[in-house]
Amino acid sequence: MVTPITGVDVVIKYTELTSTSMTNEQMSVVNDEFPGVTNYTVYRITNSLKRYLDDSVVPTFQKSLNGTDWTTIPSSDIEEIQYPGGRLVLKSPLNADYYVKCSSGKYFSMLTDIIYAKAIKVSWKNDTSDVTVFTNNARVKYPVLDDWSATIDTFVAMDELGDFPQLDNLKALRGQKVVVVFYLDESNDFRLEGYGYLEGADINMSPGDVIQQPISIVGSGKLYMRLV
Amino acid sequence: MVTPTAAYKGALYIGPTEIKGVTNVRLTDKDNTVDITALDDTARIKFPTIQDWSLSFDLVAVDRTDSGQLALFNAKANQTKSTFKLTLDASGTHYYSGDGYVESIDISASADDVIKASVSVVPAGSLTYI
Repeated sequence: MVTPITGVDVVIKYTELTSTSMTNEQMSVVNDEFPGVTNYTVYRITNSLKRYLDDSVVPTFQKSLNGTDWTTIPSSDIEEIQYPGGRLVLKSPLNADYYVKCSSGKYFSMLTDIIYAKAIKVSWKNDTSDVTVFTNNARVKYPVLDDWSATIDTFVAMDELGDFPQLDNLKALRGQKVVVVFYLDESNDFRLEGYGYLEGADINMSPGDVIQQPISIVGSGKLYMRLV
Repeated sequence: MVTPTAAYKGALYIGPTEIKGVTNVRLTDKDNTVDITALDDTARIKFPTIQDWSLSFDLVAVDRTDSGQLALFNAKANQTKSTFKLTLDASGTHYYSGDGYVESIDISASADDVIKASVSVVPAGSLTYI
């Protein structure tokens, strides 16, 4: 028996790419998010408003045992910087009593809801390559690239001024790289997040229906699933 | 008279962990065949080369608390090779098992529904039936 999540708690957000500098931003450890992930290897920016990092600027990170004397974490110790989500993944775990901070970087601050959305489909996949060789008696495939795309079904709504604010917002985003956050369960922070481009925002009109606007987004980089 | 096996007796595992909420399992176990029909043949002749299999299934509901689903999501996120086991009976005596990679997880949500997913697994070796 599973515990379903209904569409009631689904929220889709995006952020425009005007970033703000930050320094010495505290980070906190993320343990036990998924089975098999080593504790004290994943840290995220504590302030949830500063977790969507500008990937045009490589952030720097520092660690400290006493909170006073800080040393830079060398890039050779870093497995991955996850810009959407503001996370640092280390190759080896730190001791539990280490403090970690993002000493410099830039973040996107403004998250906007995609409104009037009624359905989404997120395709989260790995491109795989056939690596079957002589002596294999069965096909062998191997994952190579992360790949994702999404479609969002929305309808067009007019505000009290007679304008279409979402159409204006989406028009401004065409061709712009955006951070997209798909909250599957906003109350519990269960979400998918990544960078992408707004590929299309069509208008469909037919008699007997409201004006529909399906939005398609293509990924640019990894899509991350978060439980916290 | 045969005795059919009800699907509820089966289960799908990733590693040692059962994935809950699974439905519409489609396990394709086939031999890749090539056409070796030649001029002197009067009928088409094909010849098997390697085993080829794939697995796809749906999740009736995405459940962030189920350890099997979490293992599945983690295998996708980290491109980890995993052992998938499809048992056909309640005792787990008869099953298919093979190593594979999670190729895709398509998650869909709508305002009047629960959040669902469709999963595709590609092979990383042979599929065995016990």
